[in-house]
Amino acid sequence: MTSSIVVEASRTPGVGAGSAGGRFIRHPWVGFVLRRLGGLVLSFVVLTVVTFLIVPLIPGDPAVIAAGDGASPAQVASVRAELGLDLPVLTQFVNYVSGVLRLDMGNSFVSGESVSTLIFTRFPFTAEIALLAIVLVLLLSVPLGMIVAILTRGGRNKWLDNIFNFLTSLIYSVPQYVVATLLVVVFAVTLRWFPAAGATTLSSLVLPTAALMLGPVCVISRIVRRETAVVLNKDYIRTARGWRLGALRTNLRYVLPNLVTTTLTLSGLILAAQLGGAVVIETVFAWPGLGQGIVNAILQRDYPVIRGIILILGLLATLIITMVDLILAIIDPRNLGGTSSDV
Amino acid sequence: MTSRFRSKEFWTPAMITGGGLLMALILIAIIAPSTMKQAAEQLTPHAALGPSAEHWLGTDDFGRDLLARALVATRLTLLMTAGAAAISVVSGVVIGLAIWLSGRRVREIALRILETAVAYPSLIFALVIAAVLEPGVSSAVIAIGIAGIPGFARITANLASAVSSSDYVVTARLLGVSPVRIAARHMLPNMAEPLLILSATVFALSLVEISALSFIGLGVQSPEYDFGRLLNDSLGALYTQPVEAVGPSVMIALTGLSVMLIGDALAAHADPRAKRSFFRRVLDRNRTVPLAESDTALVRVKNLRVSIPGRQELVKGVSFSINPGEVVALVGESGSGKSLTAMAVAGLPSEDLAVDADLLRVGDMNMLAAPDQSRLAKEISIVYQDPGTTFNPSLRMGSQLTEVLRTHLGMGRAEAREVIVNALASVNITQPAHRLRQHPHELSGGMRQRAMIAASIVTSPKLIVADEPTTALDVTVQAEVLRQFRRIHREQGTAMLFISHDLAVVEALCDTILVMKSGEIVERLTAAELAARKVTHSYTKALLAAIPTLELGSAPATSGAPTS
Amino acid sequence: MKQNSQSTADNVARRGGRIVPLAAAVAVIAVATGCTTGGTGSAPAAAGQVSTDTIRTVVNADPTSFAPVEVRNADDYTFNRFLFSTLVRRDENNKIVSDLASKWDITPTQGTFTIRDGATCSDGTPITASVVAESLKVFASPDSKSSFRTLVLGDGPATVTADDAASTVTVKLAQPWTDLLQGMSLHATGIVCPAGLKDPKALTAGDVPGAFSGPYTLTKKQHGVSYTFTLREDYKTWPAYESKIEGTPAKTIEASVNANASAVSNELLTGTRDIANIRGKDTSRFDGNKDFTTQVIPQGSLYIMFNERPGHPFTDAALRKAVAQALDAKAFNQAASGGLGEIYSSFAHPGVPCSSKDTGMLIKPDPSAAAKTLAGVKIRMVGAQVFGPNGAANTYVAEALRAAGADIELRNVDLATWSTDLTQNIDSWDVTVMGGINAGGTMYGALSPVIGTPVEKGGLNWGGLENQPVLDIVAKAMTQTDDTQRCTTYKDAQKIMIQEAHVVPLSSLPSQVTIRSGFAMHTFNGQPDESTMRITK
Repeated sequence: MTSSIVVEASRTPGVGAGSAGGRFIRHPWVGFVLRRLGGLVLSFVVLTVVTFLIVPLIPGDPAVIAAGDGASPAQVASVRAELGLDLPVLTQFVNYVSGVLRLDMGNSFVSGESVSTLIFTRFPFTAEIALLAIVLVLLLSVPLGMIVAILTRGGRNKWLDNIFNFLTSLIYSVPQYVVATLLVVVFAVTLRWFPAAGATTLSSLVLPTAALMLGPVCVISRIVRRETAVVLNKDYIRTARGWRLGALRTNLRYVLPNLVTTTLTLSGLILAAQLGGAVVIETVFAWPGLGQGIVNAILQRDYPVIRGIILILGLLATLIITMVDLILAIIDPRNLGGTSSDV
Repeated sequence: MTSRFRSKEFWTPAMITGGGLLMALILIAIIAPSTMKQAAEQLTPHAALGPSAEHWLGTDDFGRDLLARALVATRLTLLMTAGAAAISVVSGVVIGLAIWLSGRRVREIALRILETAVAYPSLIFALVIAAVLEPGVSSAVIAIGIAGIPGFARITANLASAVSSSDYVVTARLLGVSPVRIAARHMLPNMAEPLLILSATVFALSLVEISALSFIGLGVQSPEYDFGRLLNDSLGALYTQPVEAVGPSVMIALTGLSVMLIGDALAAHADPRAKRSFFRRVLDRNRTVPLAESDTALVRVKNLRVSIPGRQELVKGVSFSINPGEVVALVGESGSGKSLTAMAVAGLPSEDLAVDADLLRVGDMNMLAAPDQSRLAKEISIVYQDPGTTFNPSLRMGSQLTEVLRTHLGMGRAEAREVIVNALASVNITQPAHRLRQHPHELSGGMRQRAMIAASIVTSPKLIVADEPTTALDVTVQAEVLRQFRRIHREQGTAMLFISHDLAVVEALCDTILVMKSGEIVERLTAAELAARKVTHSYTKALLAAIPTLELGSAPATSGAPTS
Repeated sequence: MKQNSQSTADNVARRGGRIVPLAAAVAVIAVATGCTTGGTGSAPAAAGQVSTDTIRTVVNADPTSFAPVEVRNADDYTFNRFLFSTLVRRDENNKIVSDLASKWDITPTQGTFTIRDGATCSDGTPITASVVAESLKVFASPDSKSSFRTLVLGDGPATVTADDAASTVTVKLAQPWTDLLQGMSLHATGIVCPAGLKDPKALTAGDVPGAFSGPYTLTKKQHGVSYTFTLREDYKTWPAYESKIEGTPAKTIEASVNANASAVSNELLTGTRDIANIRGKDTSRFDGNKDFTTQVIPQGSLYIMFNERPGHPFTDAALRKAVAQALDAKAFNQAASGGLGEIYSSFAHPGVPCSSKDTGMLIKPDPSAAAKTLAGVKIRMVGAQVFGPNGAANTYVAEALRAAGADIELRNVDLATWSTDLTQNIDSWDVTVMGGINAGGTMYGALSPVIGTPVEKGGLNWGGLENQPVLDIVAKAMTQTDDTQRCTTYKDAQKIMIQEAHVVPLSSLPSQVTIRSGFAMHTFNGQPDESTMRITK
């Protein structure tokens, strides 16, 4: 959710956009692609090194966990050797990096299964609620934010302004798992409309998605609202009024397209955040996503799985930003120079 | 800063609610631990009781009063959240500034990394850090604090790059002031306000994330307790003794709410637009006014008054008329009320202003009412000051320039484009068909302004209102644009209301010159009188004195200033 | 290997299968947000409605291994009972009954088991004496991966021989060890068929379809999501429990992975799960619910363990006794499980043979006496969060000792850090709450964390004091085949441990086997046997 402050920030008065990157005197797409590729490689290198170094710092010996309750020290030692934890750090690093380069992130310390298999079992679950949630969030919060902004423009309907701020702040501040639990109590346990947990049927998607959406709906509708207010004060809106275009035409053609950049960037960031950050929701609904995966892996000191998930989330984050930038650049070539996170 | 607290505008409902809540929470944080610690921490045999008069929220499995625990936890929660937010903000600002201060190559690399870091799920960051540091108060603070750094660093870098292009920073740079000094002395103070507002957001986020960390079990560990820990402790009994979760849930929600409301209020305060109070203008019923036989003027303004409702009057009873084919100039410096007058005539006054007049008509359209939109669009065209912002950046030129033709004249797409292509050609725009497929930013300023002029004449309007149409352009382009106005006037005989702060610009174009100052017309001149410098008012003389500087080619001193 | 490709194909199908509905779901849900039409697909059935041939159960976590010699946690045990048969089983009141062995002859240093006729592996291979022996050799080998080896066979070498003509398997021990017979009922001694022994790696992953000797085979596994077991049609050799096992075995058992007790309870209550073992306060949601039968079992035995290595305060027996006096088992139980656990009179749970039921052996709570001894004593306590909600059991102990005037510092850490500290950073702690799981269910299993060779010298003892008098008693018990004699002997051992306050028995960490009406599962001596899951209507 840190991402949301970045976007929220940009619309705080006085916070300008402005690309910090230098411009190159060549075809804009060349620079764009080079920068993007560079960013991908750079992020990947940093993540690889950082994950390798940080994970073993977690206190607790993975060999003790893997050997299990009541294992003798000799058994623990043999497990340690089996896991390759007795090798010199440099050798471990070389093995790790060469593995990563071959797209082989090793085997789980705990179950011995390959990390890629584990990740690819969990990823679809994570992706489906994250994608579903982000689509619904956009469908809800963009119109909501726009309508509120239009109704409160120029100081109109102060009461709506206050109620909107109050409600979105309140809902956002209620702890996520309280919201999730309320949903379960009402819609699963009492009304029995949807399953209470698990990921077995299509209807299993409903409650986790709903719980996952609430926070982002508040954040994005607030941002869309503020963004719309900014757009409504732009000279080109006055131009449209000068052309005496109707309210609907003005809002659809002159306001909405100018929200695309922010909204897309934002949804990219939130999507990335939800891929890993839905831990709480995943726990409440026993949803077998990546967030739960990494929490379990941390508890079991399952180094390869922790590293694998951190790495995959980092890659996804970078890919999502790149995709968003690519889409924005295609829509509007002015974006080639800057970056989406300048929004 | 102190004066702001006294101003009435500062104390909006959001500020009162948020501020009040936060004050209450801070008071609880100060008082509760010293007075309720016993009830909150002493083990008693009265375990797992439901709510009663003695224990409003019941007791936990250790026989401790749950309300007392929720209140006592306020201190630790606020301290932890503030600590985490401080780490994010301070480190973020330092890193952000450092990135801005470093060389282009380093900056580019740092921004790339930052970009991934921002997109990275911060809770996962925090999870790993908290696990490494062994869960507890300080590791939760550090973990959440660190997780928030990339976002804040990114914002600071953005802010810095925006502020760095401002005049005083550029000047300081030219004077050879060291970058660190520029950052500390010139940039930070100018970023303080937005950073403060964002800090409120960061605080709210930290609260949510620290609670989430505790939920997963990597936050505060007993015997210490914050809201998140209490909430987590209530987890196991969520279905059997749900009241246990009420205290911490409500406290978390209230804390978050208070801070977010304060953030909203601060942001609104910093944003002048948000302070405007809406005024619903009472419109005349009659959309047209009967014309007297003798009144041949196209535009007639009698005793026009424009004011901020309940406050000062900005235009104080202006009267004038424009005959068909006449070019009237409104001249004055910014703040003189000339643009307000012109926009009132065009029927586009700013929405928060009250407009009143004995008579305000264009043709037979009553501009004090809401005349027919189509007629307005066809009969009055408007050319704005800054061609850089008058076009919608996300639409192509073609679809914007043909709006009026298609919406109000019922032309098809192809027909409208053909008309516009001809009009563009008539204002000397090269490759007009190609221009229609371009976005506004691909055209030069002068080209955009000529395109605007072209669009304004295709409806054969009776009146063109031009609001400082040359001000934002450089001198050679100004001349070209003025030439276009003269040509239109010559060829089509369109009446114009031409706004400028610059007598030299209007001298060559206008028949009548009205000089405005402080919302009043102080002098009325004909073109001949102006040419002969037969002016009486000292203000007009002062304006005249400014002309030579224009001829030397330097930018007017008031360039870019908003007109009003 | 067929198994492997099968489950991979399922995974692929699952992935593909979920992306496609995703698009549909977006459309459906977008139209009907907050819809009133109810769930799409299979809406949860009403409670009590039973499908005819499937049991839906729940495990806490993914199994760490399917290989019997590598079983480590409760979920490994669950799946082990579906997949593997043992030589014998432990019926109610610790009576040993026949499984693969139809009869047995036990001396203190040797056991001879006669293998029943007609038992087969899941690939059709007959289970002969040599098949059994080969499997037990892996368990008994000196570098055995099983942490249960010592419990079953003692420390010394053991030899396993087979006589296919007589259909007997003989286990010879280096020292007297009368726990051998009970040991042959443990999950870890489950018989692996030849196909599994050939490929240990695949066995660990559950990918050898021919490895299983039990009633079910693993037909689908989806890590973190669910595991499906299918009943072997050729399986006829069910364990000969004397307790009546009613109902018919399910054709399919589907075990989903869900660690959240509230969510599991919700699933039971809304009819999407049939049998589950749940912990914590959610267990009380089934109180008085006629649709469910419940049975509380000890998931672990909680007691105080001291670091009795030289230099630590609790080498002093007076201090240890003072700790016992400072604690109130009832308040501890309230903190650890909201009062749902059972208060113990020994460190071994009551289902363990010879576990003392004599509360008179315990040191009586006496806070004022404790305060005299404990005042100002500096104590470093480490606790595992798994004991009680967020380590509430540890918190109680720390607070009670603090109330007695001790200067106590508690570190509540996760299980991994806790077990690492206790086995490697042996000087970092003075006292802890121990949760003895004792999956072997023997008195020696209950004693092994607190007597014998210390962990730093290669043993299993985390407390650090060898305690020769108790070791001598154990050695004596291991020569006794008569149950009454053994129990008299073991009573002395428990007396020393409890009265000298080497341990302070407190309570069980309970869990509740919760079963929807129409289904059944048996627990014996506090341990569930998942192979007894049945559909009863």
